[in-house]
Amino acid sequence: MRPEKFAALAFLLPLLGAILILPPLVLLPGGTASPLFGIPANIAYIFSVWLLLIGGAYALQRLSRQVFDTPSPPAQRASDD
Amino acid sequence: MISGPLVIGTAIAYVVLLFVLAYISDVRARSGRGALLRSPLVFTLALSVYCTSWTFYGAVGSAARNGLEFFAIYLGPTLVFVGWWFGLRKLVRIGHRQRTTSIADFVSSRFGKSAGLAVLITLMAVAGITPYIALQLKAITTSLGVILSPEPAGVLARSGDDVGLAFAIAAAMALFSIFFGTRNINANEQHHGVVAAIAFEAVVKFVALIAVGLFVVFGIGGGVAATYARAAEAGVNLDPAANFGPRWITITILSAAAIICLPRQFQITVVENADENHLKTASWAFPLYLLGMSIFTMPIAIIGLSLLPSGADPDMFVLTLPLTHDSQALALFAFIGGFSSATSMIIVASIALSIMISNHVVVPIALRMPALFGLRQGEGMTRLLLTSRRLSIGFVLFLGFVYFWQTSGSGALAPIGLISFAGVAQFLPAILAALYWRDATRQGALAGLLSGFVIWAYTSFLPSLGASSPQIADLLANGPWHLGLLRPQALLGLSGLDPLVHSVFWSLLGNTLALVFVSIATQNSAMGRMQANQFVDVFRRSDDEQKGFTRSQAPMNDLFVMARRVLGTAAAERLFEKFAPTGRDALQVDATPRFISRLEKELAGSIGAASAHVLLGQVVSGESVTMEDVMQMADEAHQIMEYSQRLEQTTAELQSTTSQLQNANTRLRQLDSQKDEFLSQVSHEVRTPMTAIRSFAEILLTHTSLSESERRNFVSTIHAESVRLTGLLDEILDLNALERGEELWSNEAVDPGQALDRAVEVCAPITSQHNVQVTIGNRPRGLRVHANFNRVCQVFINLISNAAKYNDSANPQLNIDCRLENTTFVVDFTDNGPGISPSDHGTIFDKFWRGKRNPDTAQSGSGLGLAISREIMAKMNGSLTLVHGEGRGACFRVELPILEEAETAAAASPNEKVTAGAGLPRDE
Repeated sequence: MRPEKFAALAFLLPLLGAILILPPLVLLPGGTASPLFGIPANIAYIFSVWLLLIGGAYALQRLSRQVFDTPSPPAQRASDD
Repeated sequence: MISGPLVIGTAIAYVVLLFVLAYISDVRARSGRGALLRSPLVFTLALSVYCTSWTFYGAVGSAARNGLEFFAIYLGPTLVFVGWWFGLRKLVRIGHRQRTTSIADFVSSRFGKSAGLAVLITLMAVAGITPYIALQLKAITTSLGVILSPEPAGVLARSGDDVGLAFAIAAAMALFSIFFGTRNINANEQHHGVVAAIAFEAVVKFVALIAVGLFVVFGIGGGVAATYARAAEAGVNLDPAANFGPRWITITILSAAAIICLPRQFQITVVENADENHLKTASWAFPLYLLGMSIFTMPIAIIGLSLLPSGADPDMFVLTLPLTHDSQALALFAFIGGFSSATSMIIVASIALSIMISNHVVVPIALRMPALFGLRQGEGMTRLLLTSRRLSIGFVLFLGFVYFWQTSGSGALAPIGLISFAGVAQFLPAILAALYWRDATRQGALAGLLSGFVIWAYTSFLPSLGASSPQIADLLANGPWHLGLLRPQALLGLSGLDPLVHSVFWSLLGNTLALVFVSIATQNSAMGRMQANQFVDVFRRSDDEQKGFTRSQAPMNDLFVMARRVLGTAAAERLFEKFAPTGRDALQVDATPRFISRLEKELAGSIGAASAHVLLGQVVSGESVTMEDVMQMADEAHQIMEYSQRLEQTTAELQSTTSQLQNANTRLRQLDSQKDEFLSQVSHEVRTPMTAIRSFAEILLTHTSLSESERRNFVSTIHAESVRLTGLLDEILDLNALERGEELWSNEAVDPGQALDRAVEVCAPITSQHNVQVTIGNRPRGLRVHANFNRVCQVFINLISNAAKYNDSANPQLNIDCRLENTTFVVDFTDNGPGISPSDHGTIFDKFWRGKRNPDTAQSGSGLGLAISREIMAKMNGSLTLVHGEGRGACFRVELPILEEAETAAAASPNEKVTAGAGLPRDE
């Protein structure tokens, strides 16, 4: 994958997260009326989006290793101490 | 009830454990064995300093009062960390490059190392964080009150505050922070011991909260579904419309801003960060930690509301639920968890603030008044820094204690935290501008920060004190001087909004607008421009050496003395030796710009960019070119470069135009010479018959005694020559028209065999005159080609008559052989004449070329026949070529593509010839 495409993905993830947790989409699951495994739908929705974002970030981390084979320059201060 | 000595003893033991842990970590890090301390895991855990006692206790209270709102406080940071590639990565990279020591240092460094900006941000941070520290003290004292109370469920938090206890805790935390936060100043503000302690506390509070959550849900509540089933009974607000309104959006934005702007977060994320790559792990691990911290918040709130008496403080449910259900050990663990979240926040926040105060307030003043602070040319700097930091930590914690003392007994935990968030969120526009907007200026940042701060203080901070002062309460109700438009919570009459939303909206709007408009109206200084490029283009630059003081002849001794006093002897010697020529004394270092700028960065790592610049300036000044000069020189050089680039570009354009012109000229010359040649050839051709006509006419005029037969003979010669002349001129016109591409005829479907028959028929007189024996083989019938019948005949006639006229053989023969090759109709005209010599092969189709072998027929042709024929064939999409025939004679080959049946039908109708197919010739 080209670095530009990786950057596009990395940009998409927080954007998608923001869209999913802000109104109007966050209003979609409704309230306590339709619980999921006993958890109110909107709480279950928030946790699902949250886990999705965490999974996405984890996938991005794995991907970034492939895209940028060369390690980034080590922080200066680590060698100065 | 748990006995007081046990609780106090546990808390003290815990603090001692922290001390030991921090001490061991410090020692290990110093001896280079701190690999674990620099791991992504420890970095991620240290980030959890975000989760203070506000989170530990207050989130449950928030859930009980306001429903799902507490989620937003975690979702904002989640978004920021998930999007680390764009914001945090740049922030951390710049922080490393610029040796940033704090958020104030970061912003001031970006805007031209402005000291004023650094002071303003420091003051804003102190004002914003003081309530937050008070909040932690309050959480500790309240929780202690609850856990020691014989009737915990009935205790109202408001009555349990113990001022003496809070003071003792503040003092203990100050001691810890001073001990581990100000041990050294030369290591770029990295405090391994503190980070290790914070990471440990992160684990403690996480496990404690999960333990309480599991106990409440499965021990008391009877499972997840059963717990949530009590939600309605408990009166928890889960209605989507009420939860996900403007306040939800506002808190998401605020918390996203806070994870960057809170001084303690900046300290951990940027300053204590050992490796940029740790962000990758933190990008998913930190959100996961936050998710874990909040997973049981709502169930605890529900169970607490439904089981505990109605007077119980929701902020303390985490403690009171285990206590009232006979789980003393768990309650003690939960207390330690809350205690650790409070202490970790206090420690990191006070260290971060003390660095800001000492670097941006004390040092600049000391540098201006060295005598007062016992400074002689940088001497005593280390001592001054350490002392000022220690005093600052004490000062910050004392401020927090005073705020706690004054507001004691009022307010829940969450609102105070949000006021702090709104305060530090005012840094956000400046930070974003620092990262992405090159043209943001120092004045713009100053104006934005000031406006945001003033509006925040007026609309958020002031109202929070409303309960304690009747004047403020009156101001809130009626506005200053009874101006309703200026009421703090309904500015410009904007009422009906939640006070937090109202305040955040106005303050961030004012902040951003001021930043943008003032930036547009003002100019960056030279230093500002340079720093702007360093920040905005941080990923494009590979060199991290920045041009600061240049061409310096700074006295090495002075520099070394100063560096030693700020950095410490060992670090200063290391730095100088690194730049010294091999095998020579450290003081033999050349004061190259690289060295000076490196030195400045090292100094900045200890005392901040603005102060380092001033300090170095004192030693180097007088012998260095000023920054402004350098920038001016650079500007001029840049302009000259631009000018010369433009010149080069113009020159290149001119050169290309010239060469185009030269090409055109050459072509014109060629055409001109061709035209001359053609003209002279035509004149020559015309002249010969004209000469004949003229001479015969003169004879007729002058010799009157000619006989009738002679006279007739002469006139017939004149006639013949005139005919030849007319024919020649016709042919020249014809060729000219063909060459110009004029459409002289229209093509249609014709039978080439018919045309050949016709041509042989027409040529019969010539062939019989020359005794040529014409043999025509079998030819395919019924073919159709796209051509003009008369013109095809003309070509064939030309070829047959040539073969007859130039054949000098004793027994002249002409073989005409036609056949179909694939989709091409081919006719070969083979004679047994002299043939065409190889040297003439390239020229026979030129104008005025003729065969010259047969003296009898010399000059009888115009020499244009072959040229015209070839043009005609080209117009019909066919070809006329000379091929190597058998025997000595010449062989001309005519090829014409035949039409398919469909095309035949189409081509038969002249009106449709244009659309008849791609294979058709087009005259253009």
